[in-house]
Amino acid sequence: MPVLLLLAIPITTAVVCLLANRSDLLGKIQSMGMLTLFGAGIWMIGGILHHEHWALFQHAFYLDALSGLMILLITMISLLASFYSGHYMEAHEREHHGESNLGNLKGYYVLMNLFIVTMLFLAVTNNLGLFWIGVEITTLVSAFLVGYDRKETSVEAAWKYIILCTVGLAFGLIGLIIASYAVTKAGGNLEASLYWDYLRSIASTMNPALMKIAFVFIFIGYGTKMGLAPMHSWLPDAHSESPTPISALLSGVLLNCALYGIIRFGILVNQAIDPHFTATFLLTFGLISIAIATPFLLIQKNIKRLLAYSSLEHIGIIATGLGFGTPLAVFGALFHILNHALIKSLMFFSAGNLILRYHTKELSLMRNIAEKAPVSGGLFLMGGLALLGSPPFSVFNSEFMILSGGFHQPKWPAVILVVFLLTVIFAGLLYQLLQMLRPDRHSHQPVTPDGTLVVGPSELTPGSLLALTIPMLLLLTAAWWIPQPLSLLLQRATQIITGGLPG
Amino acid sequence: MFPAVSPEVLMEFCITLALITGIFILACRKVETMVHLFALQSLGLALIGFVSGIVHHSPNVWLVAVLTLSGKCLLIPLGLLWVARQIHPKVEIESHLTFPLSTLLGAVACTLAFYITHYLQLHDSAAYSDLLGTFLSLLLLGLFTMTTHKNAMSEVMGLYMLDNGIFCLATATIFEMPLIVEMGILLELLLSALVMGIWVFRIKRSFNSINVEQLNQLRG
Repeated sequence: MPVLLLLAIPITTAVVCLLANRSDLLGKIQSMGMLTLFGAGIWMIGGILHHEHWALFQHAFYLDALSGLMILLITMISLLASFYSGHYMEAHEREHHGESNLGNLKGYYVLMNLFIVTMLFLAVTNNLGLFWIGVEITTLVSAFLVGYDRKETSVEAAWKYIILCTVGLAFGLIGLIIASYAVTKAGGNLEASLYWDYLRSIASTMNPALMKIAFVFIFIGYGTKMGLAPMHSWLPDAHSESPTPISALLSGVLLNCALYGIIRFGILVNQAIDPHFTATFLLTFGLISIAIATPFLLIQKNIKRLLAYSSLEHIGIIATGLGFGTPLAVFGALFHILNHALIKSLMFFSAGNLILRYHTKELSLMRNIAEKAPVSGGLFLMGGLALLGSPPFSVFNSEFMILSGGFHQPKWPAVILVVFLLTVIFAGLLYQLLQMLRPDRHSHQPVTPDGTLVVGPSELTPGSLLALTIPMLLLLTAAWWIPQPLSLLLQRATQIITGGLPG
Repeated sequence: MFPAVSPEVLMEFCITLALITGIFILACRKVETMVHLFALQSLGLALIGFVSGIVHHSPNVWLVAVLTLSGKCLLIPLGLLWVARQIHPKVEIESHLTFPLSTLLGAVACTLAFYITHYLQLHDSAAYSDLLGTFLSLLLLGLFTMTTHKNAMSEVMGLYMLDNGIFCLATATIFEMPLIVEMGILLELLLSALVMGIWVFRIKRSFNSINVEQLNQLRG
C-alpha cells in the first residue's frame, strides 16, 4: 500500500494544481504536496530498513536499501525544488512574458509532478522492461520542462535532449532483449525474464558472453541518459535552458535515476561474470567525464552552463567511485549522490536568484555580489566551495571516501588522475567565483529605455530562503554526523552493490 | 502453378521488403514519401510477427503483431503525415549526401550487416540469422538517416526505423517480450510520436523551418 500512496501523492498534487484558480496558490499547493510526499518517503524508508527487502503486488514492486536511497533522493530534492518554485516561477514568468500566466504555470506544475511520479516509479519497479519505459517517459515529460520558455535556444535544447536520449535508450532496449535471450538460453521463464528479483536468482547460470553484450548496450543506453561523456552533449544544453528548479531536479535526481538502472543491471552481470568487467566500464567512462568537464568548467561564461558541466564532473566522480568497487568507495559514491544533489540544488537555486537579480546569465556581469545579493551571493560562494570539494562540507567527506577507497587496489593511478583534475578545477573555478566579489567597474546593470535602472526582485522570500538554507545546513551537518538510519541505508545499499565482489 | 508458400519464403519476402524500404527512406527527399515507406516497412515487420507466430504457435505473438500493425502502420504514420502536411508539404529534405550516394551507402550498410551476422554465426537457424541481419541493417540505416539528413522529421523517421530494427531483434531472439512490456513499449512509441510531433511544430514556429542545421546556438 505505501508504494501506491507514494505514487498517488504527486498525481493528486497535479490534479489539485489544475483546479487552483490563483497563480500564487500553486506554489503553496506544490510545497504542501511534496511535504506529504517527503513524509511518505521517510515512512517507506523506515519500512525498508525494517524488512531488508520487500516485494509487493506479485513482485510488481521491489524495494531494498538501494530503492530506499533513490526514494530519499527524489522526495528530498522534489521538496526543495517545490519550495523554490513558488516565487521563482512567478518572477521568471514576469521576466519572460511580462506577467505571470496562470495556464503556463499550471502546465509547469502538472508536468513537474508527472516527472516526479515517473522517477519514483523507476525507484520502486521490479520489472526492468517497465523501468526502461519509465526512463523514456521521463525524457518525454521533462522535454516540455526543458523547453518551457519556448525561446529558440530552449527549443533547440529540448529537441536535442529528446532525440539524443531516445536514440541512446533504444540501445538500452537492445541490451534488455539480449538479457531476456540469455534468460531463455539458461532455461529460465521468459514471462518472468525481466523481473529483477527473478533475474538475480538465476543470474549466475546465465551465458557470460551474452550478459557482457547486454551490459555494453545497457551501459550505452542509460549512460546517455546519465550524461556520461562522450554521450553527454545534450546535458549542458538541457540543464542550462530549463527553469532553475527543473535544472536542480535534472542534475541532482534524473541523472542518478539512469545510474540506478546501470547499477541494478550491473549487479546481475557481476553474478554472471567477473565483476571487473562492469567496474572497468564505470571507471573508464567516469574518468572520461571528469576529464571532458574540466576544460569546459574553466572557460565557462554562463552560470547555468557552468553548473551543468559541474554535474558532468560529479556524475563522473560517482561513476568512478562505483568503478573502484571497494566497499568504502561504493559507500562514498552513494553518499556523494545525496551530497551532489543537495549542493547542486543549492547552487542552481542561488544562481537562479542571481539571474533574477542581475537579469543575465553571464558570470562576468555578476559583480559585487556581497552588496547586491548578500544572501544568495554568499550562499552561492559557500556552496561553490562545497561544490569544489573543500571541507567542512560533506561533499569533501564523500569524495575523500571515494578516493581513499580507490587507493587500496591496483587502480590507484586513476585516483591520482582524479585528484589532479579536481585540483585543476578547484583552482580555476575558485578564481572565477572570487571574481564575483569584485566591484563592478563599468556598471552593466540593464537600463530601461527611459534611463532608470532595472532593480531585480527581492531575493528573500520564505520559500527560496528555505530552499537555500536547508541543503546548506544538511551539508554542514552531514560532514560531522550521519544519522544512524541514513548510514544503515547507505551500508545496506553498499552491500547490495558489492555483494558479488570478493572482499 | 504457384509454388507453395512456406513460412521461410514469406519471411524472406518480408525481410527484403523491410530492407528496400529502409534504403529508400535513407535516400528519400520528401517527408510524406518517407512516412509512406515507413508504414510499408512496418507492414512487412508485422507480417514477420505473424509468420513467427504461426511457426511458434504462440497466440501472444499474434496479438503483438496486430498491435504493431495498428500502431506502426496506421496511427503513427497517420499522425506523422498530418504533421508533415501541416508544416510544409513541398519542401525537399536537404541531405549531406546526394541521392545515388545515399542509396549506395544504404546498400553497403546492409551488405556489411548481413556479412557480419553470417560471419559471426550468431544464430543457428538461417531464417532467424537473416532477421538478425535485418536488425543490424535497420539500425545502421536509421542512424544514417538521422545523421545525413538535415531535417527534424528525418530524425523522427530514423528513430522509428531503429525501433523497427529492434522489433526484428526481439523476434529473432526471444520471439516475444513479456506482454505487459510489449504493450508498454508500443504505448511509449505512440506517446513519443505525439511529443516529437509537438516539438517539430515548435521548431517550425521558432525557426520558420524544420531544418535542424539552424539548431546551433548552444555551444561550449
